[in-house]
Amino acid sequence: MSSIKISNLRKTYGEFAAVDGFSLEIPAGSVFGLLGPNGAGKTTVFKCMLGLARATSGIVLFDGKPLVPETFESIAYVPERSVLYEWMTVAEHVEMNRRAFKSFDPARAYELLAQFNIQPAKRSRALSKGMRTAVMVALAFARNAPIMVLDEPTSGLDPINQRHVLSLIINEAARGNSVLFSSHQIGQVERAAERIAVMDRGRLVLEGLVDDLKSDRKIVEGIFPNVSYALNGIANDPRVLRADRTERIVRLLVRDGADNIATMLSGAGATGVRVVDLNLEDIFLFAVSPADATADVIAKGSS
Amino acid sequence: MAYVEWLRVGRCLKCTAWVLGVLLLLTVVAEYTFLNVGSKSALSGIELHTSSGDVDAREILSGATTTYSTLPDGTKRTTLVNSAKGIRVTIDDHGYFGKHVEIFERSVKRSEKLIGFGPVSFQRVAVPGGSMVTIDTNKPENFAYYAAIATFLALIVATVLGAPFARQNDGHLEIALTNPAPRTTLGLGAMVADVTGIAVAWLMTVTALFIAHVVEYAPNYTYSSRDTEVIVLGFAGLLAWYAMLCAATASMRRAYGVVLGISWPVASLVAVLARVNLGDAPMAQLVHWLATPLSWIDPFNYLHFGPAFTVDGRAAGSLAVSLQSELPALLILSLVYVALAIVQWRRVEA
Repeated sequence: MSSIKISNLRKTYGEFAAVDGFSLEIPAGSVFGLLGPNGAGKTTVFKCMLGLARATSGIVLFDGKPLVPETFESIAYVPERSVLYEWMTVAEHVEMNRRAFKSFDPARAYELLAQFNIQPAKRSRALSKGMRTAVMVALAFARNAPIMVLDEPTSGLDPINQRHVLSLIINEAARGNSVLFSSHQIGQVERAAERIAVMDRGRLVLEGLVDDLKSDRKIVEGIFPNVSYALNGIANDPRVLRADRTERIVRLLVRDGADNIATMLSGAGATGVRVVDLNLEDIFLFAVSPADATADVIAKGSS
Repeated sequence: MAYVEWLRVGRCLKCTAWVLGVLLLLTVVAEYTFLNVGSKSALSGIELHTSSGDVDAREILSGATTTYSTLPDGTKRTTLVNSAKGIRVTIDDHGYFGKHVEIFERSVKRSEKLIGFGPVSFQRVAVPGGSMVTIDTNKPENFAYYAAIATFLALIVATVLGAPFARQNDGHLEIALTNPAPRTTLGLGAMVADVTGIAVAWLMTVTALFIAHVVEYAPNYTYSSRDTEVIVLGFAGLLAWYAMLCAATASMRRAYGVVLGISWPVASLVAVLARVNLGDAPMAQLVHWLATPLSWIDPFNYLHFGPAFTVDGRAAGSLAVSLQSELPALLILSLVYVALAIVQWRRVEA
């Protein structure tokens, strides 16, 4: 059982901060999904965590200790793009891992490769993008590592193999290992992760248990008869975390008192008002979509 | 990372073996087809002489009287006398130790000549009443020739293998840097694999040269401390060259191929410009002035093999090197370049 603690991580490239004051604690034995739009800094966080890139500032601790080379005996990492040697066969990659890691189980690796329908004698250059990802996933899961860091582990995989990878992730957690993974496929994260963190522009914008995030937030949705309408101050209600509009439709992200807000919206002239449970995609989009549009709605509602 | 480098070395050595095999085949074909160096024929010395374009063997044999005898030491002597043409040929066959051929041509004045090629030497001098050609086959051969040729080929292999860090940086750094071993250990491990491969390439070349010889005849080798010096300097040069390429490419990701490609012309040019007298023109002086300090860090500058001795003021015999200044310089360069490569690679980010 291993935990990861990231404190105030910052990585800059010149003036640009790819990661800015990022802090996160990943409990032992959990599946943690890291979400964020392209360029949010997810991969940079992984790289800084693992010492692949030098953080400008911040601390990363594994089980309370800083990273040293020996720590990699207990960390398996799958990068977002293929790092396989094109001229080497899959079997040679298995052998490379066997030599590098004490806990690597070649039999398990071959078993997983067979499940992904990959022939060990093939050279990497002969594999498709998805198959390369599958090879890296198979090699990582054959490590028996207490910590797994997976950057887009289903990238390029077909739906069947995507589901297989998700099952592997869940199995790892069931064995008490920690899995930190990123994905653009929110449905996958929702299926596998018990906790999520959302990054945007290098910062952590949301973090928590998926069930908690879903249960204490609702969406109140209503349709106005025409595009010129006023929210009569509803958007400024402290229970309304965010308000978005698309033409005549208004969507309010509400914490507590959703029914009350729905009544207020009906009173403002909206029809078809309903309270909707959130899915992870809603949570993600509310967390990372630009705030400007919301500000417009709030300004109109206030006027 | 070391495992990957061993695999890469294996592939490189496989290519080297193919190249050497083809060269060996061509050499054997050439030996039998053109050079006839090791012909069992008693006249092989003359045939060789013929190939130099001086005297046609058939011309000598036409109308010549041939006598055979055995000298007290077992040497088989063949004497050909062509009185009409004023040619007398004596061929002493020493068996394993080769043949000694003397060709006297009466009233013929040709330019003096001295050619040494491996086990064969050809010397023509003016003697009273004509000219004398002396040909020796299967002379004692110094191993230094083999060492020098093998060093040249191993330098090519060192160039091919010379960017282990850049190759790792080019899309595979995540593999190396998530290895549970310090970067320095990984880097040195990769370099050890490459240097071993370079040494094996050297040995393969020596073996190929040996096979090329023994296919036709049993070479008459000699080995002296001078040969050891050539080998030692060659290996020091290989190490320094390889380390220099590692240091030059350790921080690179993609353009390392360009560095490897231009390394030979640049290093050769620097070494030459620093050594030759370019004249008094200001530009020539400037070039020389720039090339000289660069040559101090150029391994090629220290890798020169000179003749061991001279005959009548001309270069001949075995190769020889000076270890007094070259060897320490190459060893220091090797250490510095290895350190530079490792320090750079420790700082590389994925």
